[in-house]
Amino acid sequence: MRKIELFLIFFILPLLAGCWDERLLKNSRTVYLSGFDLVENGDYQTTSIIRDMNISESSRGEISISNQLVTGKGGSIKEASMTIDQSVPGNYDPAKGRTLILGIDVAKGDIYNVLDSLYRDPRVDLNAKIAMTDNSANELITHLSENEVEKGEYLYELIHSSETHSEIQDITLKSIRTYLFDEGKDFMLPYLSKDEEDNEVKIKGTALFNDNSFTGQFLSPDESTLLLLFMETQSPKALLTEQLDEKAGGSVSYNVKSVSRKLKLEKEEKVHANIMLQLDVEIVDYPPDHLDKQETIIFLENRLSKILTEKADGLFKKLAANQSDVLGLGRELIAFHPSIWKEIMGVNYYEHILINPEVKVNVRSSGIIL
Amino acid sequence: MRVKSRISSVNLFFLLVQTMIGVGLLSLPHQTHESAGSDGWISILISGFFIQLIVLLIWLLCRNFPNLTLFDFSKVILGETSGTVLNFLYIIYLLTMISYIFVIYADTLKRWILPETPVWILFLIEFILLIYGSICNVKNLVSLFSLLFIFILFLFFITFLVYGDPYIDIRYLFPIGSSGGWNILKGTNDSMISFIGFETLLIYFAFIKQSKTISALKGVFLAVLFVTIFLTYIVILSTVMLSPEEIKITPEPVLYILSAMEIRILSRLDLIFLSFWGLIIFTTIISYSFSASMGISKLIHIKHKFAVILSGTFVLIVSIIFYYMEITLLEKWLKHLSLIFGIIIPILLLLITIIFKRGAASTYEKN
Repeated sequence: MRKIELFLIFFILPLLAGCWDERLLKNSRTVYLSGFDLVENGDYQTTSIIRDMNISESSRGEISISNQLVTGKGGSIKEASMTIDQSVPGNYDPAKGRTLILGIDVAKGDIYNVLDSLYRDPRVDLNAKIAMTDNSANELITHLSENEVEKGEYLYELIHSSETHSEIQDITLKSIRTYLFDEGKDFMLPYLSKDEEDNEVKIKGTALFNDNSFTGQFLSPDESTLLLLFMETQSPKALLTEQLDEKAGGSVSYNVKSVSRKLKLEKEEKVHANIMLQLDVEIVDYPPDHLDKQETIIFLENRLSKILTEKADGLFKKLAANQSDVLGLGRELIAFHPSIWKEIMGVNYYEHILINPEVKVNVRSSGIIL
Repeated sequence: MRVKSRISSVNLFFLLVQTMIGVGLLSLPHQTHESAGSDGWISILISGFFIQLIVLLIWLLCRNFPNLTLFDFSKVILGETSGTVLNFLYIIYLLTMISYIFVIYADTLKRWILPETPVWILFLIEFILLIYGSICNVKNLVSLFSLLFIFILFLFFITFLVYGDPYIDIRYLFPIGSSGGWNILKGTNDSMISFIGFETLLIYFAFIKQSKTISALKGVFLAVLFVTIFLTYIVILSTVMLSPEEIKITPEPVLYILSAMEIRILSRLDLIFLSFWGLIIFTTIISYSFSASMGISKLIHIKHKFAVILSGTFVLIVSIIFYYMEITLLEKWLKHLSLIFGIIIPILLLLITIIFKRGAASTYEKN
């Protein structure tokens, strides 16, 4: 009986499917950060930071972490990673990369060319953040590997915190694919740049995309916050500051609590999009105080509404100039006004859309003092 | 030969749901999108309704032969020789279906989670589970299936987690009906294959307690309704999550969506989904092989146990051959086959029964 049991166990062992597919952490070289560039004669260059964990035997199993910068070139992204794989000991495993950086040359082309190989691998982390830089990704990553201790996490945290402050759109590897394949929607990516003065990598704003490529225009963090408000996709925190004139007391900072948007699309000569945005705000910084008086509040509401409407006008002019439909009006037309869409559909449909924004600010609260 | 064990209408519900929800679940949104675009869910609803009618027809056929399975009453209707031929064809059809499920299951697992595991290991696991699960009587089958019904509910719950995603865009469902009536009907044709499994009713109706009363039908109707709602839900979910062009290049939209989900410490929800889905697949496999083995044991007069082993071996060999063949070709074939065996033949049998007034009475005369 025991013999049969033993025999059975041996028989069952190869069936434990996990045994065949184990991938030991010690064998794979985990990538935390990757960047893609277009180099001469159309080749791609991949730059990655690989993290190694060395468990030293001498100092009682302490773990020391070291980073290694690797680059590889190739006709496709996959070939470039194969080149890297040949140059590093162990398996180069780009699956764990939490941040991807696109160099400006790559971004100006069709960025799907770079991303395609990633979507074919089931192990890739689809929640990885994507950003682009105003220079080559290689340079940015080299800079990071020399100057930052945390490297991969540094960028991830940088992007993440900007997202929570509604300064950039929350774009991951998964959500960007939806935009790339949607004819009626565009998106914006975090625009990274190396600040020469501070010698630090910073988020300069958001880069506007049209279809699958960078338009060359980027928005400042304030502008992108406003745009996110128009898209109703802001995070709980969306802090804005406006300069008022001297008499009214300098400047006011406020946090947008909630947004309600009314969108009306009408076809005349062009397609007119009237967007009415209602913002419920909380005043977080206003030194002149006296928010108990009704007239102060009304004054602030009117001033802010006027300033924001003007800003929104400028913002949508920028979008129109670059034909970047970040607001997703194309999709709105396809879904609810298919007859209008039929008339204007095509690559340049955004030319036919005229946006007329209006912002109304309601002051709802002012913290624990008035 | 009359069957001995009896099951209730509720039991039939579980049997049918588990048989019907199966391998098509993962790729369904992709397939309906090919023909019906964003209106895929309408196609599913229409096919669901259509299947209800088919199920009604099957019931009308089976109520003439209480406690007899297809393999018995086919001989009554068509005569000894052609009845045997039909039984043989049905057995081959059921076994081919299982092989197809084997191949899809192995292929999906290999692409999504086990790229380095050899295929024969996966086939062997399926083979062992098929034999282990199918050597039983219908009562065991019912209790197993009703227990595993929990996992279908689990699948439901896992998909609820998706709603945390800020990129859900219900505008992808609009404008409703934009793909045009003809395309929606074509999508209905495509989505019919994911309802396949109802043809096992030709066998299961024999086990029901009072097959003549309408109560026998209640469980079946509810089962088809449940499956329709479940599939519609899955299709709507995928349509809302992914843009139209994106679904066209994503063969398993549900898995793709789940693989991007992250809830605190848990990520890669597709792995959890796949493991539950595996159990649901096995119920389909077991249900089919149970039916097929029953046919085999009646055809060549051997015990059920040996029939199961025979059919398991057959399936194993065929599926290995299929795996190295062009799989898309097989899919096309099976779509036609399932229409023939699930819909056309039962209707023909029903017509013959009505016209020539064949009934269970004629069996008694024979015996």
